[in-house]
Amino acid sequence: MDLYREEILEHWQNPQNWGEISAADFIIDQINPLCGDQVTFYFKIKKGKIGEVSFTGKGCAISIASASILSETILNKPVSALAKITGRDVLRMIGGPVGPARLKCAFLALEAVKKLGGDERLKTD
Amino acid sequence: MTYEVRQKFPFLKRKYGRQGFSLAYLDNASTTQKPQVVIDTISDVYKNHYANIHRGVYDLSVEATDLYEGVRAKVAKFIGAKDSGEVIFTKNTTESLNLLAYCQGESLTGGDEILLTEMEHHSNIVPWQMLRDRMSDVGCRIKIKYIPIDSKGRLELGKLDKLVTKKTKIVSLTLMSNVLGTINPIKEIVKRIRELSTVNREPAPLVLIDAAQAVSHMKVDVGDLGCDFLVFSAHKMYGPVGVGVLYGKREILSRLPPFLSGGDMILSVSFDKTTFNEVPWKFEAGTPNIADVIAFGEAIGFLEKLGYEYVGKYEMGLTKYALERFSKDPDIDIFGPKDLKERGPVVSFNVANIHPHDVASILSEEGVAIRSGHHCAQPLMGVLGIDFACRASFGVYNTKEEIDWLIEGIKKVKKVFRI
Repeated sequence: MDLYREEILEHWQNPQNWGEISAADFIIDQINPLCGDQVTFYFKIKKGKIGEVSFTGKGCAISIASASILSETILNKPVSALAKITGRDVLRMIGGPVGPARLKCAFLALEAVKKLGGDERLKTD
Repeated sequence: MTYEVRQKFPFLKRKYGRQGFSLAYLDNASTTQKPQVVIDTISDVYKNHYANIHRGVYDLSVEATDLYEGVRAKVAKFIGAKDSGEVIFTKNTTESLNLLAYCQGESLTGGDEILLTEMEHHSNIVPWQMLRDRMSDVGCRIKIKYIPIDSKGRLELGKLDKLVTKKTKIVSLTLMSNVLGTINPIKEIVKRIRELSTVNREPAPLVLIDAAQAVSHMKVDVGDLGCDFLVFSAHKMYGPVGVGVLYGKREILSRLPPFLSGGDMILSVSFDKTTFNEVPWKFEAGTPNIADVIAFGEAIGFLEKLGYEYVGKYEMGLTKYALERFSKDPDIDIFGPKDLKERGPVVSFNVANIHPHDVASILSEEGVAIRSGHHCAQPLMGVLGIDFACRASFGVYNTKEEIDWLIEGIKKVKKVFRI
């Protein structure tokens, strides 16, 4: 298992969609209490789709790269599709397994994104 | 000698990493590995000496009770307590601290202050915060203050005179930091606290020492330190998991209410009321961790046989070597005092801007185990201006060769991250 493959290092060095969206519709924080890693996702919703997405945070290469890759993947996807993304999907996106000790790192961003999918405020729209 | 010591630890027989060597286990500040004698004793207790204690009149129960109480006496001697009644067995250091935060803490009154330090582990912060909040709910305001640390990771003792006031009732601090490795001059601190209370014409605050990190590296003597309470865990000193110690002066412990209640902590119970048992049993409700306590006696024996003079010298030799090798790499930031006299064998560091999880992951592939994260000291991390750190901590079975693997591993980390 090559944990630090090119793609992960690339996204760690140059995270895509990094930063804040000033007029975000939704801002979601996610923390991994075990290690203190943290991401904040910013979303703008347009016609039920992810119109804009960005994130900030502090974390290891695996968690930052996963957030970066996930943010690229969900852009322009319907919000309703977010709840269906699985951990397996994320591992596929980041190019393979990361080993049991690092799953929490790989899934940190997914937890945040899934929170948006389950947000009550979206359901009243 | 190192060879003989290593022979006693079966975990070293398992092969790890790409080289197929034994694991370079450098996470001893978290928990230590166990020598064969401790492992064998647990098994021997269950095979040959196991029954509930303090209850049966049959021989086997008497035997188990004697073994269990024998370890209490051994611990008392080990830390220089006056009598074994001053030694209470708990689950771990955390439980010992919680016991005190409940039982001693609730004697506080409005305006009282608790003094901690910025380098405390969460277990010596959170129970006091919870106490403060519980007291606040019943209209009693308790204040928690912290002794700050300087840029070298030492307590700023010049500020002690201002921090200790007439209202200070409890001072709780670590003997050795689990992040910085700093060894605090407890004797000097206790002396100053007592002097200040004489000046303030107030009873001296109770002094609680968290010796969880220190106890496997240096001789800890409660009389010498001058503390009222001392807490530590067996599992960080080559003993079994699930055994903690709370030492307290007998007259103070006798005044405290019980913590948990139920069997074994009573003298008599009626439907209306209960008369509590004497110390230490007043604080040991329910069937305790019999086999592990008995095996803990063997861990103490193991350390005493090696002798703290040898242990201290050997481990500080490793620490010196690690600090020297680290300081040659400008990409490594080391935290804590550089002066060996002020520290123990715990070295926290960061490698450039690489997250400690990534460092630890790559080192793991190389057969080197270090800790990464906030080390249950998030407030301290904030003071240091970091979120996370790597930590290598040494024990009696570690070698310079293992530190070389660590250094080689860090080179690999830098290569992977193109630094």
